[in-house]
This record gives sequence, C-alpha cells and structure tokens, in this order.
Amino acid sequence: MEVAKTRNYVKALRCRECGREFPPLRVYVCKYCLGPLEVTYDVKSMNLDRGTFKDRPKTIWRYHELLPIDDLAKVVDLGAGFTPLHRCNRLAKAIGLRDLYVKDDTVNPTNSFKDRPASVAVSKAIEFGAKAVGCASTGNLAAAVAAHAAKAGLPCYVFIPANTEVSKVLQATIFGAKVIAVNGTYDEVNRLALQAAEYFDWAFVNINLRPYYVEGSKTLAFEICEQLGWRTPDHIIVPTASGALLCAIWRGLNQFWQLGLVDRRKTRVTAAQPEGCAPIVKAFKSKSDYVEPIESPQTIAKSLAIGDPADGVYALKVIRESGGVAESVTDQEILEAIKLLAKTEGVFAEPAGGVAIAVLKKLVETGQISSDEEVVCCVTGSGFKSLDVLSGNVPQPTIIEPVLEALGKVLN
Amino acid sequence: MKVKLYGALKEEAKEKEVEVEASTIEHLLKVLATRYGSSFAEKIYDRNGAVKRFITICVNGRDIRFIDHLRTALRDGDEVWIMPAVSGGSNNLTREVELVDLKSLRPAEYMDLKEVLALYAEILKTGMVSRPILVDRESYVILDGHDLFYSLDMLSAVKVPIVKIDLSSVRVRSLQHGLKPITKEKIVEAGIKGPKLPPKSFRVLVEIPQISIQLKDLLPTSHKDAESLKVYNSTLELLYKGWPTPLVKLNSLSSDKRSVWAKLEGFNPFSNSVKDRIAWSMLSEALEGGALKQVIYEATSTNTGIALASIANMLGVKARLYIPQTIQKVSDIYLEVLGAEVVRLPISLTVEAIDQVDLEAKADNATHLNQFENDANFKVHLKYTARELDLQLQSLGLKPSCIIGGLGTSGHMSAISFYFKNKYGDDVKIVGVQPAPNEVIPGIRRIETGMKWFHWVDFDEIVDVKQVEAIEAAISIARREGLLIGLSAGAVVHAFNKISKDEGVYVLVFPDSGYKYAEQFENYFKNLQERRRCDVH
Repeated sequence: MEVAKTRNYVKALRCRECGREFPPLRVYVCKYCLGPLEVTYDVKSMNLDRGTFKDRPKTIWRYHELLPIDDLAKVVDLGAGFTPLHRCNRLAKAIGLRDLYVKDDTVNPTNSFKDRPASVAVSKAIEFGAKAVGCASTGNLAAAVAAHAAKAGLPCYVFIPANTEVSKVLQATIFGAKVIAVNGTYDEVNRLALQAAEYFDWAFVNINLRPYYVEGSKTLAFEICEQLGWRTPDHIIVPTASGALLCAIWRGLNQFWQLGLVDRRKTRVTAAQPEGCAPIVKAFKSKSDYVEPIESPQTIAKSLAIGDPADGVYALKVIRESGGVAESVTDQEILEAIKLLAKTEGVFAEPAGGVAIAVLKKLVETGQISSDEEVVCCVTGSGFKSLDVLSGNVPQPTIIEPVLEALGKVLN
Repeated sequence: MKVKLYGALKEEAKEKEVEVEASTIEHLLKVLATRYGSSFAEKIYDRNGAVKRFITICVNGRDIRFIDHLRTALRDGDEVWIMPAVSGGSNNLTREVELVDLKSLRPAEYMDLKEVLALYAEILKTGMVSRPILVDRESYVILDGHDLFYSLDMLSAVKVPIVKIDLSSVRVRSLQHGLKPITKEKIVEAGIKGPKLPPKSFRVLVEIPQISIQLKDLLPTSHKDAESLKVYNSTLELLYKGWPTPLVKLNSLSSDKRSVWAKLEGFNPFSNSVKDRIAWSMLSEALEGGALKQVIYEATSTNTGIALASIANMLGVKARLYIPQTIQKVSDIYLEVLGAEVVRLPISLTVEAIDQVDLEAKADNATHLNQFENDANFKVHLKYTARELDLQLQSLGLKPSCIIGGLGTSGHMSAISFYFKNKYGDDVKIVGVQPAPNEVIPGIRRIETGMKWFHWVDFDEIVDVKQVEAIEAAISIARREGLLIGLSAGAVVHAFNKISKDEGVYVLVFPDSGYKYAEQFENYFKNLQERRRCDVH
C-alpha cells in the first residue's frame, strides 16, 4: 500500500435520533436517548476530486478519507471492494429493461459484501485495542469477520442461528473462528451476542462497533458511481435484512453529492425482501412509519432472515425520500431469479441476490420500474455459500457411459 | 423477579441485576423509573410517554412484543432483560397515540360508577394514564376504555389520549351473555344517537398499547394560578378580587334578534348585593384619608348596612345602622349576627334619616360615610362596575343598546350612564327604574326624593314600577331562569318588559338576590290566595 498515512476526517459520532454528538470512541448508542450513533465527517476540509482516486488500490480503501480509520497503514485489508459492475444486456432484455447493471459482490474475499464492513470494523477493533472480535451473523458476516480476524491475528467469536447454511458455517470455521451456533432466530442470536459483548468485553463488529462497521458498506455506492463514470444510476435495488446496507448506500450517494464527485440527481433506492421475512416491505406498503418485527422468519434467503431490522425505520425513510419502493418475492421467485441471473449473465448469486433480481423483475412487470430507467441491482453474496438450499432445485446432470453414442442420446 | 440491565441502562442504574416485585412489564418499568430517577425514566420513555423504540425487553428470553407487550404478566422466578435494541422495530399502535379534546369522543356505553371510581383513584394516586382510549376513526365512538373516558371526565381532563382504529377492520366480541350479539352498527349508533349500551357490553379484539402520560398534561392549563382557582388570602380580597360579578344571558327573554343579559350583583360576598362595592369604596377612602373613627353610623335599607358591618368587622370598628320601619324585619337579625347596632326609624325612606344620622354621628364622634353624598359611591361604580360590564360585553363582541337599572342613591346607574354614554354616545339607551308613587321597593326610590349623581348624567327614560309588579317579575325570572332575584331586580325586569323592543342588546343590572325578601314574597302569596278565595266566592 503506497498511500501514506493520512488525516482522519471523522468529526464525531452523532445520535441518529436526538442529534447529540459524542467523541468517536467505542460507543454505539446515545447515552441520553439510546438512539443509534453514526459517524460524521468534516467533508468540507476533504480536498477530493475524481482524479484523486485514479491511482489508488482497487479496494474499499481507495475511499479512505470517507472511512472512520486513523491509520491507513494498519487497516486489515484482504482486498474487499471494487467488485465488478457488470452491464447485463441479456438479463436486461429478459426482464424488459434497457440499461441494467449488476454490482457483483460475490467476488469479495469471502464472497459477500460483508467483507466491506468487516474490514473497517476489524481495523477499528484493533485501533481500540480489542483483544477479540466477534459478531452476530446470519452467516456471511461470520465468514467475513473470521477471515479478517485471522489476517489480524485476533481471536474471533461468531454467533449464528443453528440453521445457518453449512457452507457458511464451514467457511467461518476454516478461518479459525469459534463458531457458536444458537438454537434460535437471528434476533435471539443478536441479543445473546449483545449480552456476551458486555460480559466479555469483546469487540462485536455489528453491535458495539456498529457505527464504524456500517461505514464499510457505503463503499458499494461509491464504486457504483465511479464505475458508471462518476455519475449515479436512476435506481438501485438492495437486498434488505436489517436495512443497514440500504441506508449505507444512501449515505454513500449523499457523501459523493456533497463532495461534488457526482451531480446531484435523484436515485431511487428500493428494498428487496423475501416474503417470509419482509417487515420493511409490510411497513412500506401499509404506509406505516414503524416496522413490526416478525418472530419467526421463514425463507430460503437466510442471510435476509432478520425479523427485527435494526435500521428498518431509517431504511423506510430512505426508500420514501428517494422515491423508491419496497417489494417482496416468494422463495420460488427467488430460485427462478438465481437461475435467470446465472444463465443470462454468468453470475452465481446466493438467495439474497436472487431476491434483488426477482424484485427487479416484479417491479418491471408491475410498471413500478419503467423500461428506460437505468437500474443497478446489488448481488451481495455468492451462490456457493448457499449450496444446500439450492442443490435440490437444479436438475441433476445426466450420467452417461464414456461413449459417443451415449452423448448423442443425451444431446438429442 | 430478576431484572438484568444492559448497556446505558446498566450504567444509569449502576447495577446490572436487580430483584423487583412487579405484576407486569409496565409495572416493572414504573418501579425501575421510580427507583433510578428521572434520567433513567428518560431513557425508557419517549416524550409521548411511550416506551422507546430502542429498548428491547425480554421475559425469559422472549421479546415482549411477541407476548403481550407491556402488559406481559410477570411471575415469581421470571427473568427480565432490558437492553438497548441493536435491532429495533416497534409497536405500531403505541406511536399513533394522540391527544384530542375529551368532548370530541362519543361513548357507546354508559358509566359504571364503581369501575370508574377504581380507575379514578388509580389515576389520582399515580398521576399517570397508562393506556389510550380506542376510538373508531370515523365516528370517534369509543370502542375501548369507557372507564378511562369517564374517569378522565370526572378528573376534569380536557384532553384524552386516543388511538384511532377502523371499526370495520377489527373483530368485536359481544359480552352481553344471553342477549342478541352487539353489531358494529349498534355500537356506532349507541355512540352517536344513543341510547347508550350498558357497561361492558362489548370488547374489540385489538392490542391496546401501553403509554405513560401524565394526568397534568390532560388537564386545562388555564386553571393554574390561585386567583383563577378562586383562592383568596382574606375575606376582603374575596370582594374586590372576586370581580367581575357575572354577566349572564337570560335566554327566556332573548330571541334571535334580541339578547338580554343580567349583571348579577348578588354575587358580591357580604350583603349579596351591589352595595358591597360602595361600602368597600367608602370605607377604604375614609381609612386612607384618616377619617375613619372607631364607629360608623349609616342610614341604610339593609344592604349597605350589611356590607358596612361586614367590612367594619374586618377593620375592627363598630357600626350603627339606621333603618326605616318599612324595611323587612329579617335585616335586623342579619345585622345582629354581624354585631351591628340597629336603630329602626319611623320613616319610609332611608334618605329621610340623613340629617338625624349626621347629627348623632357628630355628637358621638362617629363616622358618617353617607352613601347618598359620598363620591366614593359613584367612583367605585365608574372604575369597576361600568368598566367590567363593558369588558364583559366586549368579550362577546357586543355593544349594549340599552342598560336598565334601579335608582337608589343613583350611584351605580349614574356611573354606568356616564361611562357608556361617553363611550358609545346616544346609541346606548340608559333607563332608570323607580317605584311608582306611594310604592315601597327596598333599595330604590323616586328621583324627587333627591339623588346626587343622577343629575350629573343623562337618562333616556325613567320607568315607574309597583311593588307587586316587581315581585311578579322576580317570580317570573325565578320560574323561567331559576334565579331568585331581589325586588329591585324584579323592578328592573318589569321595566324591561315594559320598554323593550324586539331587537338589540339589553343589559339588566340586578342589584341583589331574593333571599332577604321572604317577607315580601310571603305577603304577596298570602294576598294572592286571598284574592283567589274572593274570586271563588
């Protein structure tokens, strides 16, 4: 990394509810109103233009001024970020769109977008002198944190629901993390992690490092803009669980607008949820400002199975402010979408990515997205991480004898 | 049960685990808020008194939002976790609580007093309201919380916390066993048209959110200072801080085009008459001017006497009062109770005693205030009576077209004439009322008997009234308006009946109430019976 140690532009942690500001320490809720905190930056004194990024590494750290890190030389970097933005002409045609892109986060170091926040959060944990890191996860974050902790040489404790896909559990385990599989939903896992975080004083990336952790995800929006030639698309579709990614993308767009790196132009941000766990969609459709939690989510998109979305209310606000929508799809639609994406564009998505594609298809069909909108669909994780839910749903290959006649029979 | 606190709540409480006795989560939070103080409570409750979105509460590991929200029951051995929510949904209903005017709601059931008293007592004790009233969004008919509605009504609340729901989208369970089930239509009809249903006739099957709103936020804000609550530091304050006396519309005499208002001077505290004003004014001036001696002498037809005797008692001076023999006997008793000396004179008009009172006062080194000549009389009516009447009318956006009042000393009507004639010119008609020749109406007399201030101002008309006419008019007001007014007030009503037109704003000044005139009323009824008997024979 040839970028020299640079200035930290973090101003404060600001309460998203009451607006009170706190020094950027290891706190995660407002001590007055218990509202969640977010990082604010001194954007005015950043001297960034498009040229600034020209020779920077193709990772999330190319945007380090906009990440809450003190010393760039000490970040834990496995190369997360700057994933491809595929122009998808065949899929566009199949769905009925003119301009469609897929932001392909399947190619991150641990094959999901979670490497972005994990890289930032584990780096921050080291800055704070944490002796161990951990997370509550539906699977993807577990692997991402475990890998970055491995790179940093920190012990890692990951809490996952016991029904998490085998491949995700295996992935986290292989990186040396202590995987704790909990008999319960993600929300119950999350609560246990919160209790454990207090008891053991570990740095839980998505609990007590949450304000910093979520900053990593906004790089997805930065990249989309940069890859489109420093402009924003008409519409971004985001697979949504806690709502944190969707909010982070919105923050990213706003920060680029603020910096003048892209023109201020409306981008609709849409939430895609599986029908078996769609609390944000339900709130959006019922015009409610509040998100009713779901006790027992039921979906093959396990990475989206968060019944009590932490950022649900904020996500709703973003969706409405941006003119986006929230839509849900069935497990069957998700599976079809995974196959469609794979067959038309050569990208193998996990069910969460399938949710985004299926919702896109539904919104085009119902006229909520017009055919001339330029759409970016976020595919946030690789299909290889969910093989067990997919395997029964694709045709088995035909087994033949090693003779040409047999092949002829199969192909006919 | 055991309660575990996490994060900022733990830090605020300075304890991570506590033992608490509570029946529900709601109760538990109240206990904790009391135990750990306001900054802890602020972390739990939002400005509307609802539990914050960022709190997750679990009982035995299960989120209460999936059990019974804040009403989740607690048992011995339960473990409760209260933690900052890393995940945070919220209860939809809780956030839709709004405060509306109590009067805008329409109860569908009548009151069950015993139930209401229990809730009333609880609200009074805790000062808190812990749930909203559910109302139908469209009709504002109450669907749940009748007890709360009636309790708040009896606590004089003007606002009530409500949650609006669509009656069409909820299920209703009829609770009147053995009777025909209550339909949704029936509930709305009971609320809008009546008759109301018996208490606990039905229940809507809806989750009722828990709130925490202070009773004081539901009460009217105007009832705050002691003065508006009619609290006085002395009996004398009761007089002048109690002003203005009421101005009340007499609907039995009013019509679309004509409004008739009565100024009820009987609401003055001592003599229950307009004379309290001048007694206070004259005594105050005498006191300030150093002219007040140890005893006061005054000729009076009762009211001035009672007022003077009352205030004299506060000032520690004695009163001797000269009363014409024509005046009702009960006056002597009242004055005796007040410790005043009464001298009955063989005269028919008070004013005839002036010279005698003056002489005796000089001889005995007493103060003769002389209500007939003392300008403190006119002044108090100009400064207060006339002015407050104008302000009262202004508050209604009215300008009087005619003011009618009795003439005694002429103090109050002269001051009223002076004020209104100068302010509004001859648009305001001032009418004085006097007894017809040879008639006795206590408190008023004929102009020719001598009046000081009458001649300073203009009167448009003077109306003569007989005693029987005054009595009959007083009875008509008692029987139509429910007000027992005095004879001079009755005379004013009679004058009004005589001269009033179909249009305009009329003000009748009623100098006192009817309680002192039992003897006159008694005579009237006796004579009436007599006449009827004669008619029969």
